Amino acid sequence: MTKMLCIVCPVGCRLTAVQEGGAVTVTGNLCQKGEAFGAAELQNPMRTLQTTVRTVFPDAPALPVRSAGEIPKGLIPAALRELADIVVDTRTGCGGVILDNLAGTGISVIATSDILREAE
Amino acid sequence: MISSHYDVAVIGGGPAGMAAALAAREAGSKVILIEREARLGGVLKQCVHDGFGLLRFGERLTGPEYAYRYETLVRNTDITVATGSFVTRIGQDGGAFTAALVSRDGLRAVTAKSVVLATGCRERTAKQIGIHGTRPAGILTAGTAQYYVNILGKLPGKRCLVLGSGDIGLIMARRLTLEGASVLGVYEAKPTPGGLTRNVAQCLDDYDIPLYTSSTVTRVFGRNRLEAVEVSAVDAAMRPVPGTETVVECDCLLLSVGLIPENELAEKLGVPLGAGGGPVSDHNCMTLADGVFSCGNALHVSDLADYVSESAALAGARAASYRPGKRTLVFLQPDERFQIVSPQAIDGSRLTDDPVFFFRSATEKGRTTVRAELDGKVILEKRYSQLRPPEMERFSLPAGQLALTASSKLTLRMEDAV
Amino acid sequence: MDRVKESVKRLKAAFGDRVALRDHGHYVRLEGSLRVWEDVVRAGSIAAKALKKRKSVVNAIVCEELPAPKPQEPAVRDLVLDNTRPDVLIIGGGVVGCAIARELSRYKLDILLAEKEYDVALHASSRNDGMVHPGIDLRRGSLKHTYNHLGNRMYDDLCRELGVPFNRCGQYLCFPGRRWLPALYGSLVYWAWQGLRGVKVLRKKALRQAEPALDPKLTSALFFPSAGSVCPYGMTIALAENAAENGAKISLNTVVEGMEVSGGVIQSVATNRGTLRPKVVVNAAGVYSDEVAAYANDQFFSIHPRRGTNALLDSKVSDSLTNSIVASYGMSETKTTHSKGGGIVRTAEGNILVGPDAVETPEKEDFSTTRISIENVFAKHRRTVPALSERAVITYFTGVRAPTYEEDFIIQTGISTRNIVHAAGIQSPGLTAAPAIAKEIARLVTSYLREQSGAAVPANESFNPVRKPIVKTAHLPDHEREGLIQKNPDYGVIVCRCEEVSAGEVRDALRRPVPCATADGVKRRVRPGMGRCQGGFCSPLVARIIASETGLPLESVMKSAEGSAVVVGGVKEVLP
Repeated sequence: MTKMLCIVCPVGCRLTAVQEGGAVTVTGNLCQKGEAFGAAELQNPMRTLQTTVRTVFPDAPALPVRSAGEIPKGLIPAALRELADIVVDTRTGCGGVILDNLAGTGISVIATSDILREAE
Repeated sequence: MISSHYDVAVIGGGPAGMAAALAAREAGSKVILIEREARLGGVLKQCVHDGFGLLRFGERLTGPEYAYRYETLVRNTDITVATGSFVTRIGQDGGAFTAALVSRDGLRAVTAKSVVLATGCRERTAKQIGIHGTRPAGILTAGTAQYYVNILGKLPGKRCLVLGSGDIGLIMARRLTLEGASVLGVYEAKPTPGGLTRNVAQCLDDYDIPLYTSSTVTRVFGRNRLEAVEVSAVDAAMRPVPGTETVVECDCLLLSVGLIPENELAEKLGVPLGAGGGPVSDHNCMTLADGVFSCGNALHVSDLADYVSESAALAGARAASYRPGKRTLVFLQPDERFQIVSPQAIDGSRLTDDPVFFFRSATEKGRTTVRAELDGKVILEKRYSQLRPPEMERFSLPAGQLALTASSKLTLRMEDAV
Repeated sequence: MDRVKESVKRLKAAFGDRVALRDHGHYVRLEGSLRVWEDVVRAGSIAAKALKKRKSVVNAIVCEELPAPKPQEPAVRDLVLDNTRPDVLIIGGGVVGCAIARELSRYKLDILLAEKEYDVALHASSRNDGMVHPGIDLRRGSLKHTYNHLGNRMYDDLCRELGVPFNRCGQYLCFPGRRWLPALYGSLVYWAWQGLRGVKVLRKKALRQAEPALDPKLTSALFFPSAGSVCPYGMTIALAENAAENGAKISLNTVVEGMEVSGGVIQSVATNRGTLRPKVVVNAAGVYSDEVAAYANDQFFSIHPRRGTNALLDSKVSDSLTNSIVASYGMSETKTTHSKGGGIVRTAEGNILVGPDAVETPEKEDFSTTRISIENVFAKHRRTVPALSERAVITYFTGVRAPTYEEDFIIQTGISTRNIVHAAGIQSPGLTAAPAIAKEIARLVTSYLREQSGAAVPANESFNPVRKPIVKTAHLPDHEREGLIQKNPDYGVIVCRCEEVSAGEVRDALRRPVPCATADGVKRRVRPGMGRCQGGFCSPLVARIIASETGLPLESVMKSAEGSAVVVGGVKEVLP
């Protein structure tokens, strides 16, 4: 039995997840998303990564980005190391893809700000 | 000086100001949105973490994305957007409000029939909480650190300690960790964390950052850069306990010790402020100065941008429909279990929809019932499974039951539910 | 009575054999060792009191508990000043040193001012309440009294010339009850004798009208119209800039490390920037003036550092506290030992300063603040203005005064060494006195040079006493502000919201005659970060402007001295 806090939304349900065989039972959740979160958290915790990448533009030296979907929590350090090498040199807009396959997850990384276009 | 005339002038281009301007425009007003910085978005521009927009857009967005959505909506209207424009003077001339703006283009004057103040908040500083010792580099508020990290891509320190467990502090503890700094711990003078519980989980627990409650920083050391801080346990009255001092070596101290609504412009307009630092206002977000509306963090510090947008849209719509006239103000009388209730009053003469209120409890509570009584008659009973001071809650009162006169008595009580 | 014998007797009574006194003619030297610093200071004071200024005191008693703290040294070490031969070397860039530099720049002289810190006005000159004193508690005949009066009268013209805001607001010294009135009226003769002009007695109604926030029990007062307030570092910077405009060289990050003295003359001065051979040296080294005197083989006094802490309040509350400077007397029987003098001062910028207290310290650069100091300061001055609240505090700071044991200024040519002039022991009212001290020091320097060369020092024909200050755009009339922005749009970009400072003003601050490309240097010149948010919003913006003006990466922008970088590197440079 594992107690955890659901981080999907601001409600912050206190979940209890129990694994019996292959199945996970989640209690304490107020919605379906919470059940999914509880199950994943027990077996393979997933997170969306938000960070910035460097740019060549002095007016906007950092571009906010995030993974387009969740990636395994354990891959976050590898993902950051990969992003450390990226330098954006085009005026990518909000939603533009910065990297296709983050840390081998198949998940892309997208810009979350229009700062490069606005600063143009 | 060039002068232009508007129906509604919205001051502040963050999530509140953008939502207010949009709502005022939708209601048919000629609107100007005035923003000090070069870009719209306010503090959201530097909030690269997610958690925004679940209520407003049904999606989990980052701060810049949430701001971008709103900015796109604003840019698709004929709202006049004055970025890089600082309000240097504001006042009232006859029936109209006048503001002088300064920008790269020079000075300009704006007049408007009503004003929406969406000026946000600022952070409490080290000296305001009585931190003593030297004055080295490396002591900064969490929001300033956030600007360095997320906008400029720079680290304010390598061995960081966070004082205060407000949301920005928790989020910055994670951001700094992700970006290669080590965060030695988050220290909180209160016995419970100051930020949202889920931020404690996803920002501290995920990265094994320790949280020390009932302890605070009592002294800082280092002449040029911060070299160390002294932390002490505090008693129930939050006074440091002598003999509990320990020295922690670090080169950076982040402060997340409270937000203060920014109301310097409101004060220039003679708007009375309430205990929380925001203007005393009615359910239409109108302050006690007729025609001056307040919304977002300038009105009361919110923990969700979505709530900010909601109350700001109301302020914008009401500013658009504002006509001078007498108000029938009935002030809510909350009991001492409420830390803050906002807005503070209902205007009985301008009551159309169910008025919405936000509140924080004074202490952590389990199952609780909030009961509103009008002249002894219960008009609302709402149950909450738990209440925590850091988490703002919301309720509305049924407009149909609010037959108000100047002598009406409206009380709010919090009771333990069984 | 033999004052020396009396000193020895009193020291013996207090400390037995642990302290020895050696008579050196014009001064005595105390030697030995004592456990705590308080006793070291007490020994000096006992000796000075017994000597009644016939001789001065050099206190060389070792404090067993504390090793002598190391002063902050500049990080730089080069030879840029090596083998230079300035006519005058001024040691110390406080208000006194800078005023001397400006005064001497009226002459055709090669002047070098050496300041140990990264900017001028970093010790006592930026850490006081900015009060221009009327000279209430000064003994007639003391140098403090003489120079305070002379200096006070110079302030209006000087501030006009230098473009420094000065507010001659006057000071109220308030007393509880009408019973004080006879004494106050009686005192008017005394003030006239003291040289204080226009002193008035105020009764309840007039006092209430002038200062409504005073404690209602304070119903009589003396008003001293000659009191004023000025920004002390603004004044110092202005003096330094005007001196530089008139040809004086200001060398920051330059510390004197020793001197070669022979035949009663300083032959050379060793610094971290090389060895200089000045004709004459001016000692304006503040808390280090005794050590500089010792380098010159001319130490006849000691400095015992005394800390003072002030709190600065939000300008929003100013109107509810005071319009001028207020202090009270006789409101409480219990006197806190470490708190004397001070008051509530409305600064020239419109904030309120409360303080200072007075605490002896062994450390000459002990600028740290303590909770107890702030509590004492507020407790004391709340007796004058009850509405005074710690909630309005935006910052607080500690300065270290530089008193001698005689507690008077030293303004004179060296005794054993001929080519040094001392402006030492300058504690309060040093800011008020500085312009007058500078005139006297300039006279001493030029007469020494005249004696040496046999000819009068020629005047600097191009001397211009007027300094153009940095324009504060927020204070300009609209049409002027508009004109300025049309010429340079940076004046329309507001970076500091609390103090309404434009990017143009920040850039101006970096292009002055005494440039100081640090965040705090800019703050002292044009005030970004001085307001209620304390730089929360503007500090990264100012850092960026500094980086762009200097062409340096952000990592090289310092808050204050070398080693105080505002950021320590880029994100993701070191990842696990």
